[in-house]
Amino acid sequence: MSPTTTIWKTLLAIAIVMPVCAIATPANKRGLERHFGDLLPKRLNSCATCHVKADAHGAESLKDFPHNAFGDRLHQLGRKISIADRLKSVAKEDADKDGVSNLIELLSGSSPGSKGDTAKNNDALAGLLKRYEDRQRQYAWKPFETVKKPVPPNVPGAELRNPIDNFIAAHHSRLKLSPQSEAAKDILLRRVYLDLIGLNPTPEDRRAFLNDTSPEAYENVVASLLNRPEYGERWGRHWMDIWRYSDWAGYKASLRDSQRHIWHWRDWIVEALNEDKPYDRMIHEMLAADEIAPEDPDTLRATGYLARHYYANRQQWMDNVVTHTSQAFMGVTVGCAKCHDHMYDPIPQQDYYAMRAVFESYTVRTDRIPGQLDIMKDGIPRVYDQSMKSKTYMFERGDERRPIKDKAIPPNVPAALGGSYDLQTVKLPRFAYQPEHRPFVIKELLAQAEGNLAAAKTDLSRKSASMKLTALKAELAAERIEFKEGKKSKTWIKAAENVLKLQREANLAEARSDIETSQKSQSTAEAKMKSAKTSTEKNNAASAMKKAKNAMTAAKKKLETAEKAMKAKLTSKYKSRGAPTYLTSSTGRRLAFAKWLTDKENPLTARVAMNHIWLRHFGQPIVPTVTEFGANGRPPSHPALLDWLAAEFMERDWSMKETHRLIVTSAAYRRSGQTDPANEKIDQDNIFLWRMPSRRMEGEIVRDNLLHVSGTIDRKLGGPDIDNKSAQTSKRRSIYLRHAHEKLVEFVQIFDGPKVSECYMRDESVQPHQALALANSQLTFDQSKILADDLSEQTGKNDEQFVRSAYESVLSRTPGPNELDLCRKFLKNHAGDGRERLVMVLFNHNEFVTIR
Amino acid sequence: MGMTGMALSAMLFKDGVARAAEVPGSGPHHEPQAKSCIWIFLIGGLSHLESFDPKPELNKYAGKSIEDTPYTDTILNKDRINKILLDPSKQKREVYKQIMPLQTGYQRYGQSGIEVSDWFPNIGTCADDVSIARGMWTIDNNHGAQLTYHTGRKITEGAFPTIGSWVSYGLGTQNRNLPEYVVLGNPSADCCGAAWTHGASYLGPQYAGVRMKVDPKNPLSFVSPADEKFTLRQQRENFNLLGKLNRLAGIEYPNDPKLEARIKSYELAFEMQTAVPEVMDFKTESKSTTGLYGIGESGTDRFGQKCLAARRLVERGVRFVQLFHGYSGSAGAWDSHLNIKKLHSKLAQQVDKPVAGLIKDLRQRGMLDDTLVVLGSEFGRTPGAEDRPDTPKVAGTGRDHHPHGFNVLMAGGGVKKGFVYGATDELGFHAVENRHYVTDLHATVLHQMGLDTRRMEIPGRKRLEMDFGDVMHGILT
Repeated sequence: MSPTTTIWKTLLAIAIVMPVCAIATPANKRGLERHFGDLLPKRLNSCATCHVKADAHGAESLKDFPHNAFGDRLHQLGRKISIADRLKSVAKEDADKDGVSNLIELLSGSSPGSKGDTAKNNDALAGLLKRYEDRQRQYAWKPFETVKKPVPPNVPGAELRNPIDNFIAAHHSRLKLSPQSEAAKDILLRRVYLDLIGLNPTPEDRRAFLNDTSPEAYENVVASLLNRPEYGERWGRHWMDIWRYSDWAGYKASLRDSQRHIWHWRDWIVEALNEDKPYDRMIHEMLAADEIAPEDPDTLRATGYLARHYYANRQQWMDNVVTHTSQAFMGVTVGCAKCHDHMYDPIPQQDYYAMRAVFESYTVRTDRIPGQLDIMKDGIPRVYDQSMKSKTYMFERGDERRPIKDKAIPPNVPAALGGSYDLQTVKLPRFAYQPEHRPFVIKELLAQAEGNLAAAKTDLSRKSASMKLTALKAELAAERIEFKEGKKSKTWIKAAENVLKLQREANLAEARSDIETSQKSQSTAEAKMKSAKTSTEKNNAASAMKKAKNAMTAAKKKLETAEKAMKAKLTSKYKSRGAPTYLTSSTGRRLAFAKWLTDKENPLTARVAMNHIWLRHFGQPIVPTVTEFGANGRPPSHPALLDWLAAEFMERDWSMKETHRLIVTSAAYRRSGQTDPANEKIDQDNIFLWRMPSRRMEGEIVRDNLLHVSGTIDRKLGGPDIDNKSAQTSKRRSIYLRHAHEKLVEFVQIFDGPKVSECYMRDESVQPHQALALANSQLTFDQSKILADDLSEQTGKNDEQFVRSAYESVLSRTPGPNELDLCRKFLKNHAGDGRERLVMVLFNHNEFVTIR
Repeated sequence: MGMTGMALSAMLFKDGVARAAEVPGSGPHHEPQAKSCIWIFLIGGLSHLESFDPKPELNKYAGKSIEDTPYTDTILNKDRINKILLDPSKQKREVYKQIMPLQTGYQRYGQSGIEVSDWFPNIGTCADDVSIARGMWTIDNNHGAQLTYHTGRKITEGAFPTIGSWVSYGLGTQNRNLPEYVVLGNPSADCCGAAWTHGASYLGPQYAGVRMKVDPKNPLSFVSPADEKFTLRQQRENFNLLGKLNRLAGIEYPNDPKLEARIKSYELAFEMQTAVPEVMDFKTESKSTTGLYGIGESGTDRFGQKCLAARRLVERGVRFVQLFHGYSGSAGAWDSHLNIKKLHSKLAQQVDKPVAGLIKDLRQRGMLDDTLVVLGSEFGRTPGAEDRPDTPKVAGTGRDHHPHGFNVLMAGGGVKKGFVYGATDELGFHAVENRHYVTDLHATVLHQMGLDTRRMEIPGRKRLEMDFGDVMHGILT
């Protein structure tokens, strides 16, 4: 982040506010500032540049606050033309007729609209004009306009591996920066391994690469890494940050945030990345899989994105969806327009509610999966539309208690971003709206009932189970008739009455069986009471007695009810097994939105995704404000490059793997990270990437590599979330550990782990607490011992060989002579436990947690 | 304590003067008055009116509109209201005009006769030791002001170095076993700055506040080796080797601030292993001392422990201790839009005795002269009652955010005793006398600690005029 930019922004912000312009549109003033940037003299950053007076106090219309000659001219051109274009078209004119053109006056600080205030001959003028012209030639960053692919600039003499380098080299040549050359092979290999799969190269990987002298050695490594399943885990975690992954939070049965079994969505993310599912398709599936693949449970997992937004409070839920969907995919803070029109971007308040309307009809349910009838234990959390006509109302000043009910806001997309919203209702197939009728569910229900029958031990319980099975079969038969003939048909009524009759009989049998069971428990308890000696035994027996007694009371009551029911008139209102019929159509609102989002005309989707990917390869984004591409965001360091990447991404069918390949094979990525005083003088923060920035590993990757380097990592992919408290002993990758509010992995959090509510960009702090976690954790002790034992087995008593192997395993390089000496001395001084301690030291080495 | 005096630590831990002289553009630039600062922050917005700036006129005009008072013209002047807010168009909030009377009484305390509300009777008894700055103002009228209070910048501008990080950066440590900058209590929530409220931004992560818990058994997770047989001596040997190896590896990357920070973090981590549990263990404290802080009493126990821990940290040379009170997961517990009487009286009870105990304890140990205690909040609360038609039952029982005038309490460290500095107007609306922006408070703290903010700048990081602040000389002895 450039400090200079920030400061300019602040100066401008102060400058705008200090003189209060009552009527002049602040947007025009901002346009003036943006057009001239730091070339705009301070005194002209005033209402008086276009108006007769500087202070609009008390004025109610333009009449009270008239334009001067210059303002009049701009006004004449009309509001439809942007202020920048208007300024350009009047640059050579002379509004106040003082013989000096508007542009010269503006640059030299005299008023273009007042004849009495004329530019003097100014020596600096030539320089100012040149800077102005340079500024005009700069690549125009227009994030709200469709991406136009720029031509990579030609930069003679620069190291160019692919067009990315042309864009970066252009800045180097402009700023007279001399970029570093390619990093050493060791460093490059470790960088790309950690970057693409999040795991250190093994000593074998390393040797193979060092021995491969072919020109494609590096490209081959990249290709093989992109094909490894760990790629999906590594980048899955990145996208989980952006898409707000959280396991469910709540207390006992009450659910507060996200959904149970949301890990199915996590697995979908990993799998989608591994199969290089096009990003546009991923968006379609996350926002509307229930409309495009309504009967495919694998694809339905994708809607976990929306299911995760579930929040106990529906208003908050909807607000989160709008806020985060716009930030994550569009890089626009539509959330700001909840209470008022967006202050900086052309997003009126109505757009917020139109976007909310897109999501208004959806809610969440859990679909059964084969092999598990209890959805509390497993199932797929997925979304569906619960109403075809959900209405969205604007809230007065964003206050949900004050809806404006005169007019419902229809679903739509922000007009300022172009494109169209083509809404079409989606007809759903049967098993989408009757998921409990899917053959496997029926099969498993019958199997369960049959199992109960087989397990029954007494005559009475056998009878009960058998009648239950019969009743279930009858119910399923009635359901089939209902589906074919409807509930009005005589056949169905007859079948339904039959179900009710069988259910009543089954209930009666069950009650009788219950009485038998509770009688038995009662006598067992009585016997226990008699033989009880210790007070514990007595207490246990007493509570068993009580339980049996309660069961008996309940059974008797059940019997009474069942007997009474037998006498009642037979109707068709049997007690259903709970097989709801959902809406047979879906509104199509989300699908239309997803299609708009991924239309190639959409200006933001590809740009925002590329910025996120770039950030995670280089540790710094191109647009520093990753969720704010609008006017309140900070300008990009490489606007043309980002546009080129976005266009290329779409041309390559939204392939993420192709994008990674492009980026990591660029000269920019392969550069050494070494500093250079001359370059530092020009670009202290390395904004223009004259070297590769170093990064600290994320907490997950630190933990993963402790396990990986020692060879104990469990490579199993996917599955339910693992208790966060077992992070010190579990061997699974960190992505699988529970991550929810108050259920966080402390070790990961200490290394700036992701926040649950949002995490678009990680911090990289250095804290003594990280040192304590790495030095003192059970994980480090355990893995150090394992690796030391393993290496000792390979190297025998040879200390030097041990040190070399340890360096190679942990830091993916060989030790220098001084390092070797120090380590050998250490081993000599600590003959007993020196080896595991040396490994511990290397696990705490700065290089271990750093990606160079 | 621990194994101090090891060669490597000696290399890393220089005394404050030597360190500061090395850091370009920073102090100590003059003889310091205070060695340490205890910075207490009440999250959500303390009512200045019902703490240290009570206004009898509010009782006189209770229920009337500000428009019906003689002060209407000056108070409701739009320009004046908008003047201090950096971007008033973004921050429109209604001015609640119907005056709400003081929700509790107040008295004059001590020889100085400073007015303190009845919710803070214990702090009242310290009146002759404290100064109250009543003319504070800030630029954000929402809770992003929590970050502003610590950095001087609006939350929309992002992270900037906090007051604590400037102290830590400018002075370095005066101890070798604890961080220079410690944070106790849950900081502001995600809405309002979160970790940025004790961050160091471009100064570098080693100057950020380190969070600790007041629990001797677990003051900090991973504070001791998981293998109980692993001795401190072994740890020291490991870390010595680690330091050397890190330095050797660093030859390739000279002046890498992250490497330097990591090396330092290990040295500190080593010492913290014994120092942190010790500092959080109060068994050596007498009953009368713990009683002073309200430890063991209901309501005051938790914050009392934090205040005592703060004294113990400062005693051991920690430069800056930042105490948070009132974490709520969102805007903060002090944010009393409704039922201010109930909420504020309960919260005030939690902090009153502990803070008073801290001041008294520092004084009885002769530490108050070189320890500066600051108690404040991101802004004050409106003189008018917040009128919320949606909740008719409690309408008019709370006060809204108020950035135009609020107060800060200071004690020790060369601040005048029993002194009131600055004032708000008759209704407590605008700061009218000795008006000070939050960075003036920062400048004052830094000045007392021997630093001149105008000489504190990192090459390439231009600071704005508003960042430097002006020392509140009038409040200093």
